[in-house]
Amino acid sequence: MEVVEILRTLRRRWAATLLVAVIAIGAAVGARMSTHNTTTGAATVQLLVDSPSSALANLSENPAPLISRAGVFAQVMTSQAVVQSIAKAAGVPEGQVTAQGPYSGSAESLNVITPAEARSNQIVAEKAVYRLSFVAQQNEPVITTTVQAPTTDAAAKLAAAVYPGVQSYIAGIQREGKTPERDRVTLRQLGPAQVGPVSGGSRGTLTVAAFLGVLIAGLLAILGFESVRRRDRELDRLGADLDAHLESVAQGNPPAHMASGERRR
Amino acid sequence: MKASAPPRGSRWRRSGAAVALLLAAALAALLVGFRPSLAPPGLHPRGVTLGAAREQLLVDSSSSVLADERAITQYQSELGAQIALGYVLYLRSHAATETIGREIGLGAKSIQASGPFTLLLDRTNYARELPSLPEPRTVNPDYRLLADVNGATPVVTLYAQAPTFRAARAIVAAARELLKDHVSAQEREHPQPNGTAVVIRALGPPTGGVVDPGARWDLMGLVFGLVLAFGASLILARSRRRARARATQLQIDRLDRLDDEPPGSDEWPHTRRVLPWALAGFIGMMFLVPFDSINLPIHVGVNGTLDRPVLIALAMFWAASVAVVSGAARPRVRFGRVHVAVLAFLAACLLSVALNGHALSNLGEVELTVKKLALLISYVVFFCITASVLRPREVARFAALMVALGCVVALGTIVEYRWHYNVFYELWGKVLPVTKPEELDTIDSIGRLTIYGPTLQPLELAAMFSMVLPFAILGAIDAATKRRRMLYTIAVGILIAGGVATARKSSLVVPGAVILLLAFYRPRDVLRTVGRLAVVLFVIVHFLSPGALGSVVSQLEPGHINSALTTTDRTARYDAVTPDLLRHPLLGRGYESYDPHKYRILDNQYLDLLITVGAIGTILYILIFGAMISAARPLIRDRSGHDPRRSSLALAAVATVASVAIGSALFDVLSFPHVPYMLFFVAAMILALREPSPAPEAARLTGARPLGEAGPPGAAAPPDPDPAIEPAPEPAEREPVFA
Repeated sequence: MEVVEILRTLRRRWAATLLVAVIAIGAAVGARMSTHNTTTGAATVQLLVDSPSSALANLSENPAPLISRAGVFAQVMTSQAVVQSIAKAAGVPEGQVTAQGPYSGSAESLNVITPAEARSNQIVAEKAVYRLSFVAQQNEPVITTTVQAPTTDAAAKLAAAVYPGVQSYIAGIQREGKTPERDRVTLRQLGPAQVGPVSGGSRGTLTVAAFLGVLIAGLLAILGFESVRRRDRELDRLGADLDAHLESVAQGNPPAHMASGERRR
Repeated sequence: MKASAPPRGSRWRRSGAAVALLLAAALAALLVGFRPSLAPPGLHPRGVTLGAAREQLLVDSSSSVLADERAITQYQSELGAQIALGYVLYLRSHAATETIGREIGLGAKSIQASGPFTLLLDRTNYARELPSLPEPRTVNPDYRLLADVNGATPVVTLYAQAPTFRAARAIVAAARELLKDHVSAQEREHPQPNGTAVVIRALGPPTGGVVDPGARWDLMGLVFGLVLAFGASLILARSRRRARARATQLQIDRLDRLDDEPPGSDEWPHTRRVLPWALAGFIGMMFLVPFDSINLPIHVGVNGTLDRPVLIALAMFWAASVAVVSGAARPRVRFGRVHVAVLAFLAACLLSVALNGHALSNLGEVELTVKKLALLISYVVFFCITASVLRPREVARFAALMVALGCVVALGTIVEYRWHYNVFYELWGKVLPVTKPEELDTIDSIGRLTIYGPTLQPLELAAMFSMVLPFAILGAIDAATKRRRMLYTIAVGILIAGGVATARKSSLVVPGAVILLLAFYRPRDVLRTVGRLAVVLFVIVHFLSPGALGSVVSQLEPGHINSALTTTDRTARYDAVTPDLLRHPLLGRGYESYDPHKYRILDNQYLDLLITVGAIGTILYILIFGAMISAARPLIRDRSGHDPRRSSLALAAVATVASVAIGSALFDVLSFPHVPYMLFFVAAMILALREPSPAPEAARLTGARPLGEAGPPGAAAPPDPDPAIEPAPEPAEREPVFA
């Protein structure tokens, strides 16, 4: 089918073409509106794992145990117990928060090939709009928390809730275990959270993808339908020609146009 | 004239067939979603739904490491991690899996348990497997537990997968309680000093959910649609078979013989048309330049690799030709089944992205998808341009060009294999900003040298040789002179030698399949030629790439093929990606959004498409191959022997298409542009072969009249004479153009 023929067909089927165009525009608008709550905000906050007499201020204290503890904390902070506590402190539904850690978590793992069972959990967590990532530093007792949220305000709010959330969970265990005041693990937030906007450009892409996808599929459907109908008609005509030819041959009188191999118009 | 109505019997027959088809489709859909039983009569849902749950346990002491600063040192942390590993291995034991199975209501059946995966314990175990007794337990593989530790922190993560979320959560809870009981029992038997006993601390309740809430209905809908489409196609194909055969024959009869080239035919390379030369330049770039590793410092949208600006220039030439040139020299855009399949696939890819925009944006994967979509659109544009430019008689010449360029690449690959010098990257690196692959000239995990040639993946390089090989083999078979036959034979040898120099199994498997396909259509010619040339080819291959053939053959030996990491890794993926497949079974998670560096290297285009564009996209991808092959088939099957040259070229093109279809099961073809560009070029060749050659006519600008033709300026060029009515052109002196 040549381009001119395609345009003619679409003009002949103008109502269907118009319908496809309208649906494509609708799909584009729908895609644009459905992405209004996707990630646009990010924040980073750092926590220091410390002792009551701060290791930063005490020359005689060896920081190595604190560095080991930071690794354990980073892992523990991905657990649902801590995530619940952070969500409560931030005032967001806990089902919309997910966390990933240095090794494994509900969100995607960091550089680990994941078996089906763990991948299933990652997939379930894919739609959570609030995402936390905890990574312990190599040589310092510091945990860096990265927050992703639908808006910068929400990211800031969640980042601000990380310290009180974790602290509240730890305090609960300390109360439960009656840990002496002087031996209690102390968490300190290292300054306010850094907040900023991210990845704002996906909306336009998704809008264009929805529009083009529906438009191409719709136009192909119209052209395919027309093409099948036309082919059907041609085959009908050819079939009738062949039948006539066979009948004539049976009667010993082949028609001139078939005898010469000519195609009847 | 009003068409006469079909007879009543025929109408009833058609209606009956349609109803039967609908019933068959509904039944198939029902059987996919539900399992029928006779006693008691009923339908039971099939286990296509996956529930998932997760929980973390801290291997702690009574004065918690989280609470008490005295409770942990680095040594204690590592010790805790080792104890956690021991617990994970306990949870994999027969006793534990049986107990959990009993706890969750499986009766005498055990659950399936595995882990840890972060430590990759199984990878470090090189001990030879000894014969073992058959599995003594009955395991229900639908109920699965995975316990993981990282070896550095005392945290055990439990993952469960089961037909429902409730069952998955029950598995995790049962495993947790079992572990606690086990630890308590051990402590009762071996009492510990105060404060040193292990405490298993659950870090919150289990989390999770259903992975694929609508998978059953999606699969049922898909099967319904597939059965309906397949049945309707069969019914349509059966009806009017004679008329179809006649139509195909008429189409073949319209074609002129490629060897009968009239004087002044204006065909590449004897042409002043710009576009064929531009295409030849693009093909040259495709073979000789590592264009995918050249990022030009210019902004051309999402990706600045060399092929994009070149393609944009080609598209501009093409648009200018369409606008300015008229007559036979003007590119002729004709949409056929291949165009439809390609555009339908593109539409499915776009829709998969649009429908999953929210999740993709959430995971930060939109940018990757956009890059891949841009690459796919590049392929489509290249195909549309090429299909409108190529002429039938040029196909043979471009095929010869591809064979020659393939030999140059193969020789470059042999140089790389023998002297560790990559001609393509080194030479182009002197004039363009080439980024060398990190693994160039290194040894891979199973001891093979990593050979790249002008590509980004050894498999891509091997696939290129397999794609050119059919043209060389048929060139050798159809050669009109001894000299040409010898040249093509040498070309076959060089291409195979280049392929085995990549040390990939595919370098022998895919050419083997290609030769079998050629032999299916032309058994006598192909087997006789290959058999006759086997010794010559072996000598050429062994001389050019000494040792490579043995290395590849040894990988294919029965004891090795199933145990090599490259094979076991591939098969291990099928289970691991099941949740991804079931999450969005129809349209996937978004075209090529499954980042291999983030999730898993699949090395399988079909699997990748099933995950990213779903069953619909994958079927459309397969239909692209089907459309290409079905477009070429009438030419190959031409019983009248109308034009053996067209038939040979069409067969070679089909074998090339088949090699890509096979290659798609071995690596992610669409991510490595050399192969798709070549595939679409070959597809354009097939479409060109289906067309009659245009009448000789010099190129002229729109509005200008052809020389010697009367008529008003701007009049359309005369339509192609109807070959069914007009006598065929008198054959000129036969001049071989391919062989």
